[in-house]
Amino acid sequence: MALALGFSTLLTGLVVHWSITIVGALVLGYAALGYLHQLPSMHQLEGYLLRTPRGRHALGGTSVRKMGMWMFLFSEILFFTGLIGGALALRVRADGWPGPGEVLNVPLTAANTFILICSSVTMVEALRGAQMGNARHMRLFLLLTMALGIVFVSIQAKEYMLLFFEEGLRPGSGLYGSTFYIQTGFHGGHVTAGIVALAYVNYRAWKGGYTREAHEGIELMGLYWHFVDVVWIFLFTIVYLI
Amino acid sequence: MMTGDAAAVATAAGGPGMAAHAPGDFHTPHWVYIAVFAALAVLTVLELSVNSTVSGKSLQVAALVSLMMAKALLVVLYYMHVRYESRVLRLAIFMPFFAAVFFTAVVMI
Repeated sequence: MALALGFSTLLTGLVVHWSITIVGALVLGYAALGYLHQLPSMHQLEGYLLRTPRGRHALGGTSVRKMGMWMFLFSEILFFTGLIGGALALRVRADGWPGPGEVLNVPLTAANTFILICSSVTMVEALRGAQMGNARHMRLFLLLTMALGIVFVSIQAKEYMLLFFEEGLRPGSGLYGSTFYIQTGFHGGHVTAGIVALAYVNYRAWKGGYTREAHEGIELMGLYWHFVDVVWIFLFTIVYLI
Repeated sequence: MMTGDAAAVATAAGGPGMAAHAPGDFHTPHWVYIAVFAALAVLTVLELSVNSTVSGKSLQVAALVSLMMAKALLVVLYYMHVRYESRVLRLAIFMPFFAAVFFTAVVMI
């Protein structure tokens, strides 16, 4: 948490004022030192996290792995906050900014948004299949999720090519181009990373690695995938519609 | 009754690191997943129609941000199962969202 806070403060400082950058760097450095100091005793940390002095489960029943995924997602929230907040800060100070649909292809991206929403449904269906102990259901929907992710990235690549070569919108062609590519590009990178992770999860599922009793890997994969979907919900509205 | 495949997956040994579920396991009703999907599709269509039906930039932005937040909340609460998570985790999730809104407000002013 402190690492994420330090990193995001540092990013905010780059946009706002150098003094905030220094505060962010100090928090980040302090948090990194603390983390390195704790590394040799991570197993002790896990035992500490799971039990309070009164013997209660400190995380209210949440497993350490799931909490770890959420911690990662917290840092991701702040990472995308830096990108989106930075772009908004530049936008409100810019002299002119193209309106919705003037440069970007909204219908094409709306279709892509629908594809990503569909992939979230297929992901929860895969988890449901694992919970029911229905391997066929689980494998089918895991495969569908990965396929929909590939379709999403392919359409985004096509959109980039149209914008780059036909519309002349390039990262170096101004604030609008640079903020557009950096926000959607980092999101596309996250989807691509998700596809790679899904390929591994699919492989494990076909090998019988997930059971009705033990399928936390699919749940954690789902958390990441839905997070990427949530980021796109924000980006689609802010970048394409407002 | 499970299929042969299902029985195989249910009895197969879990792989390394595939820990069993902690207490507080959830089983969201199937209709909730489908209802959320339908709501997301409808909200997206509404978003697309805002700029042509609502007049005034401020109203358009307010409507779009409201629809965006509704969609994000649906995914977080039901697809990421935050609604069924422990109070500790729900409180922890609040913090980065607070920080996100705070930092965005700081850079916008």
